[in-house]
Amino acid sequence: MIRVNSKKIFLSTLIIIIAAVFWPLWRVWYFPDTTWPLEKGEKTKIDSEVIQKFSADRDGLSKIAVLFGDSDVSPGGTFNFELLDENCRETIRSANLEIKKLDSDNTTDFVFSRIDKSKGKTYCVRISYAQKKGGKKARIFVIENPKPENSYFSINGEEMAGQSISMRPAYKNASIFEDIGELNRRISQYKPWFLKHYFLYFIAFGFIILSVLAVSLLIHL
Amino acid sequence: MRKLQSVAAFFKKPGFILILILLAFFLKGVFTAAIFPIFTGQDESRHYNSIQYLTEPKEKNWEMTARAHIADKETFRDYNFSQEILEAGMAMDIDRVRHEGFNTADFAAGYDGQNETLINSRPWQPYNYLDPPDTAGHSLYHTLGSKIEKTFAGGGIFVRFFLIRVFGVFLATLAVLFTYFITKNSGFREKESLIIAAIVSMQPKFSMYSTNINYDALLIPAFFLFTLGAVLALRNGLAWKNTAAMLIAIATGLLTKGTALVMLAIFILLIGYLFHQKIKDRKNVWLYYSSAFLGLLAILFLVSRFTSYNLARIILPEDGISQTFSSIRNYLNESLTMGRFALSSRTYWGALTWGNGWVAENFTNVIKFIETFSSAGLVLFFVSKKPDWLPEKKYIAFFVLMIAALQLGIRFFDWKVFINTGALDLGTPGRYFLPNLASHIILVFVGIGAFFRREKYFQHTLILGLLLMFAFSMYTIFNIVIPRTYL
Repeated sequence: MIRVNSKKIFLSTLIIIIAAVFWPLWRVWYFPDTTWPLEKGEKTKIDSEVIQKFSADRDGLSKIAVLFGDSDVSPGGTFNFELLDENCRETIRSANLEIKKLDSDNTTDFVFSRIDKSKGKTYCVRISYAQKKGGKKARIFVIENPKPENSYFSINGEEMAGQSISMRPAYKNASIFEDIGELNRRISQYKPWFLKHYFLYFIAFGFIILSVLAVSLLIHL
Repeated sequence: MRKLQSVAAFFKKPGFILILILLAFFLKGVFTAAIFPIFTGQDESRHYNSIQYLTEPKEKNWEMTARAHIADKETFRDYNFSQEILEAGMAMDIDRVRHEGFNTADFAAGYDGQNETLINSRPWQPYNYLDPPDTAGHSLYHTLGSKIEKTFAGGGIFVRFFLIRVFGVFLATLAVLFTYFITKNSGFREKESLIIAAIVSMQPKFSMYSTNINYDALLIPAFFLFTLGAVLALRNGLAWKNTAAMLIAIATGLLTKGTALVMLAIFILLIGYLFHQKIKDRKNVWLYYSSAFLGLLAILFLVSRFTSYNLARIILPEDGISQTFSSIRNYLNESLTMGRFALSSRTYWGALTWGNGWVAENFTNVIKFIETFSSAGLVLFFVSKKPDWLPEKKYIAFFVLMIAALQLGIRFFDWKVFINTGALDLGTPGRYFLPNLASHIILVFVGIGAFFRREKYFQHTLILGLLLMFAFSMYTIFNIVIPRTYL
């Protein structure tokens, strides 16, 4: 007869939980360039495609977050996203994103593998949307161009000088340690000295380690 | 080898594990206090302004500007807060952080925010120049907060504000400690008491809410202390220790928030029950009951006379009987809806629906399923012979009474507000029910335990509950709050 060791099962579950909580973080920790304003401007339907040229401020470009209007797009559709070179000719990264709803209180994120040397380069973003049968067209917010280096914006083939889509490029660092460092810097801002930098590391890792230890000991008791 | 065994034995000592649970909870609370930007907690800026208002000189030797409260506030500046709160908030672009779910602060490259040096140079006074100031009243919690504000008056707003948040975390740590003693004294074994205390310490909303500057930070541990005192009274009879615990809890609660009247009501019932148990076999019982009734009237009179609670006005209906019944009917029609129950449940467990995470959206459904199962178990518990390893029925009946009384009390006040405004302005957000968290968690697991005939299975269920709460707590912090606020 096989005897099941319940403590081992619970400890394995704990390890799976820790992996399930922390593993996705390495994949979803993107640091948006917050100098790009995300605003709700004028809503415009995407009939064919949106093209936006922009300049990356740092290395590690990995995501473009776009704010769409909250139109009822049920039953949904698919965004086709392409990141192209400066001349909008050569595709560097692409992604298809299937959606069922659009929410103007959250950005829609186009994620792609990290571009190591992106700093100072101009990229062209091309987004089109194919709605499912019976669905509506997606709408995008058009705002005043916040960055002079964003040289071109067009929607449905029409150039819109001095305007831009409401979007924000996001970056990943070269290593997870740099990501943790950058997150620490962000959390430290507008905090007192005892919640900054090393103190924050101590508190964060202290609580994680002690919590895991407490749960492990309770399983073992 | 022997040394290793003694180290292992030390790690398994209940006292060590309890300290570990408390320390882990405290550090988690401080970390949670750090990841929520200043003024983003529930009603936090108003409560902090109440503390600043109490701290500022009584004699207002500065010019006040009359400004009526703005009903539909569009920006942080529309609040009648102190100059320091308003200007610091605007300098750190608080509107962007508070009101735009898709947005974050504009982060600088280093450890200091864009305008942090300016804010820390303290160019603004922590005084209210706008009259009337936007405050949440004057409670014991605000007085204690004001002591911290005054003690650290030389520090910047971030030092003072976050120290008051940490004070709330300390109070919540006491509540976790009380949970351990509540469970242990109600008849659970050592291991089970530790696990239940750990489950309470990992309830996400409790962790998050206790970091907010809000008078509930004091009310919640007061409820836990009262529960502990009552459990001790049920176990040992009325003694000075447990009576003092209950009276301190009631006094602290009444000086903090009206919800504490629920404790007073239960205290009276409990005293009545214990009194009845003691004198039921004596001669001239009616004499004892008459004296007890007079004592009760005296307590109610003293509370009405020496506190701000006019019990007669609170309890007695203001309108005629038919209008009262009509307003109760209207209130129940409006408030007892599935949508409102679901909202209360989500906000009670801390299921933040920022982003589109499946876990956050469905976690409370899992809990609901467990609670339904457990409710059936509670019925079974009361109608059948209880297993040896579960507490006596009187303790469980007391926890049910606590839950029912708080539910009734909150809905009673919600109805009172409804009578005056015609709308559910107060509402029943889940955080209002957190004072009974320890009782609630105990009931859930007793209900499940009632189905088992072996203690081992009950302990396995507790461990599963602990793992579930640990997972959700970590998920909420790292996969919801941090991405929403910083990424």
